[in-house]
Amino acid sequence: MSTNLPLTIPLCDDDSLFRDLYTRMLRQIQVDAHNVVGVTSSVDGEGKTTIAINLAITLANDHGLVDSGKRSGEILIVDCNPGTAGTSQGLMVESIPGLIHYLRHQYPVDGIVKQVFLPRLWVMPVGSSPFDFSPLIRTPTMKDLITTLRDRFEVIILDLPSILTTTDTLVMAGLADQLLLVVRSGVTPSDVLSQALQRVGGDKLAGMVLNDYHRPLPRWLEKAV
Amino acid sequence: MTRYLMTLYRGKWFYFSALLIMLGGSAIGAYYLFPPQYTAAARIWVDGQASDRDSSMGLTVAKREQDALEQLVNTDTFLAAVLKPTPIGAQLNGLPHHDEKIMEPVRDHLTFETVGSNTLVVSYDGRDPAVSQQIVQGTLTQFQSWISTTQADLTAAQSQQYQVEMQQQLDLYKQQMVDAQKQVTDFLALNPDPLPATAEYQQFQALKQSADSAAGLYATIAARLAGLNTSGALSNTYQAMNFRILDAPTAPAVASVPLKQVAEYIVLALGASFGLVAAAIILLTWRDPTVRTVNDLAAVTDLPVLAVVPALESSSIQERASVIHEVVTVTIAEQASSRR
Repeated sequence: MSTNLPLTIPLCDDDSLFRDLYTRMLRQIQVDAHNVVGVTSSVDGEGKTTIAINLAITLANDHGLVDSGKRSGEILIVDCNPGTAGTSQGLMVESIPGLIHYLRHQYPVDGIVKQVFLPRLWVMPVGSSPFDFSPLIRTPTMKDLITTLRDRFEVIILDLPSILTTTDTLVMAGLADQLLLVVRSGVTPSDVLSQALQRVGGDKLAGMVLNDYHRPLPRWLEKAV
Repeated sequence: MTRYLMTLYRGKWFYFSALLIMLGGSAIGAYYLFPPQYTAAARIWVDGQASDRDSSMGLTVAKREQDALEQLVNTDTFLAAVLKPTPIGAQLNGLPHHDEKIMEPVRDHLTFETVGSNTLVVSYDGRDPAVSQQIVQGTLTQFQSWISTTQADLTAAQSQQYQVEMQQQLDLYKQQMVDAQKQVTDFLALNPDPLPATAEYQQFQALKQSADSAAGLYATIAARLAGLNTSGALSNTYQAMNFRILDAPTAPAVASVPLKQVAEYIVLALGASFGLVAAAIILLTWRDPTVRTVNDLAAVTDLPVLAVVPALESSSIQERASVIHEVVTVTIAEQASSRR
């Protein structure tokens, strides 16, 4: 389903905006069957972590998921960005221990999944020492982890690395049901975006989020044009 | 078109500042390129009427005066004399190449205009009103001096030639008188006392009349030569170049502005400024490969745009995290209050 948004949209507060995003996103995906959503971008610095966090918060605040009765309505956001720990910082949790430590069999799942300030919001940090991150995510342990988490959490949001900076993204994108591509307005070149789309393929891409959008023209001029 | 407008709006303050700077620079340039000019002018009346030959060619006495002045101003000696009492004259050092650079702008600004058949206006545009007046006055003074000198020279030349001719005539008559006297003397030597009513006596009378006539002519020419008045023999041509000053030049109090030139310069400056800004906008738009709007995304892929997130005021991840934390804190507070 395509949403043809006008050149500008009325500015609104973050909460309703992300609620709108997740609503549209859920229209694209079937929550029952597909509850792992990967958030990525073409290159670094496009705001995918911010989008992922805000989406997770919005989902965690949505009581409708709890009322579905099928699951707890809990939301997990997994930081898959080694070396940045942006998700941990944004949600103000310790980045250690994290995903890497689980994949090394140093910690159990419960030891690395941490609840944040919202009742239904959980975060799995990436951990530290990311030099062995690439081989670890390619092990069956990672795949089994996602399978385990599917049963426990209503929606799992994977804060993935950018597509063109590492091949790990494609590996982890394979673990997600749907992908959300974040594009930063005025930063991402169109050829870079095309290259990223070619690399990731169109199978799992649910849609795009245009981030950091500035109104290009004043309303009166926009109407005149 | 929309993309160009977007580029313009995005950098509106930069382009506005650039325009202001360019226009300000143009204004400063206009001040130095078109400084206020002080025009001093004098109106002179030229006596006489044009000759038949000049009239047939459409030349008036004022036009002839103008031609003479223009030729004189193009003469370094004349112009140097005009500039001598002015500050410009102090810059002249006698070297032709150096003085030419100083005199050329003066020539460009010194103009002569005929108003009617006998009236001529001499004017000068300069930055200093006093100097403008001095140059116009100096031009008139030097011109009058040149006319007088030329007249005197011609008078002297003409008087000398006349004297020479008169002297030659006098010498001729003197010789004739001497010859006639000699003939009388020789006749009396041969015929000492001729009797009246004789042929000799009649011949003697004829010779005596010739001698008297030659003596009379000699006396007349000698008297004329002695009483010759050189001031009377003036050249008609240069006597007709005399002029009278109707309006003497004064130091202008108000500056004049070359409005047409300033207007042309301003239009050119405006055009160039806006042209540069437009060129910058076009160049930046062409060289902008980034995705900015939903339409740009649609041009790349058919994927739906699920949301458009407006720009946050802060850009660092820490600040963004604090914004998120603020949103979360408000959410928690709202939940707590709803439970109560």
